[in-house]
Amino acid sequence: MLELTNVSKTYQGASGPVQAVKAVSLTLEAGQFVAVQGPSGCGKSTLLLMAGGLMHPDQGTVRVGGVDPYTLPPDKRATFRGEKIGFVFQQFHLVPYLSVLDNVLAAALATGSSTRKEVSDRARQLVDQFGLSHRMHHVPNSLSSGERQRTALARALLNEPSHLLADEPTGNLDRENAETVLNAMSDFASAGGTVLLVTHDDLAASRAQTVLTMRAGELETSSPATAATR
Amino acid sequence: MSVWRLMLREILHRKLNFGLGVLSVAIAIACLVGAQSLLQADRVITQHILSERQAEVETAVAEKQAEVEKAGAELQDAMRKHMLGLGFNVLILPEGQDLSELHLNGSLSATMPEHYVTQLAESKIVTVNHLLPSVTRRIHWDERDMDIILVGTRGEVPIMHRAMKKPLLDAVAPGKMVVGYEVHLKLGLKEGDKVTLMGKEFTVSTLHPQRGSQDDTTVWIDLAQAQEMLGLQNLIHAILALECDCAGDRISVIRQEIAGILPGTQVIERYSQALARAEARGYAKQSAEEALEREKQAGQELLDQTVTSREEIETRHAGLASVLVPLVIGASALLIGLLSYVNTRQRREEIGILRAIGLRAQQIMLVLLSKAVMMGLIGGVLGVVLGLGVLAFGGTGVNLPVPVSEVIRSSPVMSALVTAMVLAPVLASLASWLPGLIAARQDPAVVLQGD
Repeated sequence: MLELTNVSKTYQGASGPVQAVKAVSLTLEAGQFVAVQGPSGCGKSTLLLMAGGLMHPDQGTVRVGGVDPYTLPPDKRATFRGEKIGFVFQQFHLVPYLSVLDNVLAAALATGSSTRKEVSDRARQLVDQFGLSHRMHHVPNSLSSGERQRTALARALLNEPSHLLADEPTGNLDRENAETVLNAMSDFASAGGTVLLVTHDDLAASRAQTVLTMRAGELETSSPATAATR
Repeated sequence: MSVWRLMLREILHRKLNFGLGVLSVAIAIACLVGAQSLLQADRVITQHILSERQAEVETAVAEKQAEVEKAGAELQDAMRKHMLGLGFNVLILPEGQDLSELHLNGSLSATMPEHYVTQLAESKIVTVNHLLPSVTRRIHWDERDMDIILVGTRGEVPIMHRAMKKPLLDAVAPGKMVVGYEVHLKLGLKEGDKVTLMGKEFTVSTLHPQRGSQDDTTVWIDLAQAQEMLGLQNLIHAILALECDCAGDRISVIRQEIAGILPGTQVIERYSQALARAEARGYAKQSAEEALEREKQAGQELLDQTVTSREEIETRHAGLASVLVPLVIGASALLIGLLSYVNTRQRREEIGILRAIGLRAQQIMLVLLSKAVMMGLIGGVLGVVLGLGVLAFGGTGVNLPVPVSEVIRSSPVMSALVTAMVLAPVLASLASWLPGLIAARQDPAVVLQGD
């Protein structure tokens, strides 16, 4: 379960403080796939970073599987992220000099299991699952955007996290690859995982069980109303 | 997949950055090793030069010593003979001889039996070394109308109980004549001339150089002929005892000893002449020793100059190294730091995502510092090779007198190598520490917000 309670974040801009997220509360149960839509700069990426234990909120609390990651020391929080949360970003953020397989296995460095055979086998299985077997030893530069995003998705899923956070994962993809990614996210939710998708892509949002709209740092609407907003 | 694989992949991906880092370390280490090696080569060269100089000096001193000893021996021998011309150490005369006759006229009139000299020679006398019986009379050389002192001599009589000594005065053969300086100068005599003296014919065998004494007006002939010419058969005027140990109080011992063997004789000492002779011998010896000492001093000065000169060179090189080595190491550390900083800037996104997916700051630091250690080790090895290459090249340039391997095996160079292999990774790690720390602690959210 992912639980954000009254979280706020303010940035110090050149022309003064800018409140990116204003007292947002949101609860995602296990197995839920929630999309947050909104225009650029509305605060949805900030919300996702706070939810992922990457950005300390100025106010409010975040609980991931019942644990507030911000109460953990930095290194333990990092390990916690590695174990519990998978991230997918619009820009893929693959390590440029590692092969597809090594990029996927890099996630296991966080848990110290990267050299174990079962982890290696799982990585190969994910690579195969996302149709990248023939690209296993290729570096990101030689991959298409879709292949890169599928690699990023495989990396996010390697440690079998309970939460998947995605920021515009289909933003750079064609329809076919977008479908693959969204299918994988749906499958993840179906398997009991929690998915928080931040996007302004209607197609992507349509795959979510719940779509929330965010404007000027605040959540406005939800549809269908399976996600709880307070 | 491991941290090491991550590091190696990154090194292969950014070869230029790594290569420049390795080069920086290599230059610093090459500078350190090269400087230490060349300083050691300096020491070896100095040692070699000093050994050579020492050997040269020792050879020169030995040669000089041999020369001096030879020259000294020749000088002593020549002096022995030349000093002989000054007179005799001890003169044994008949007891009744008026000494004023000798001093005023250079002539003697009292006689004693010739066998006295045999008696003396066959005795156990120990205080004299050479015995020369003689007759001496001042005569007018009628044939040449000139006053001369005629001396008849038979050469030295061997002292029976002693080993034969080298004679100080050669005998004059019968029919031969040895002529003093004034006599041959005034008469215009040359060696080989035939002359007549008191009706007897003689051949001039030797012409003495000027001695500035009674000898200049003396003519020497064979004793037997002189005795016959002067009507003194089997008689002699004096026995000349040479090289007697007569210094100090020993003269009284000589007198006593001779009086015991030849009663009725008197002994006079030519003290000043004997002393002069001893002093001259001593001076000859001293001169030789001084010449040898001068040679030794000159050799020592040469060695000192060489040491000073080499010390100056070594000090200059050490001074240069003491400035250059830290400067190069400092510059290299700065460059490595800069390269590390550039590298972490380039890896900002990658480090951010690795942090986001759960890698701890220590793991990031491990990746970065492992690379620095690798850079240091490879750079260190390259630096050592380069540094020793400098030695090999430099050694050829300065004609290193020993094999380069011998210099390398010396303890200062081995210490430098060990230091280099420790210093290189430490240097690279320290230089990369701060950029690595900054990178490891960077907030992944800041990187990811770029989206």
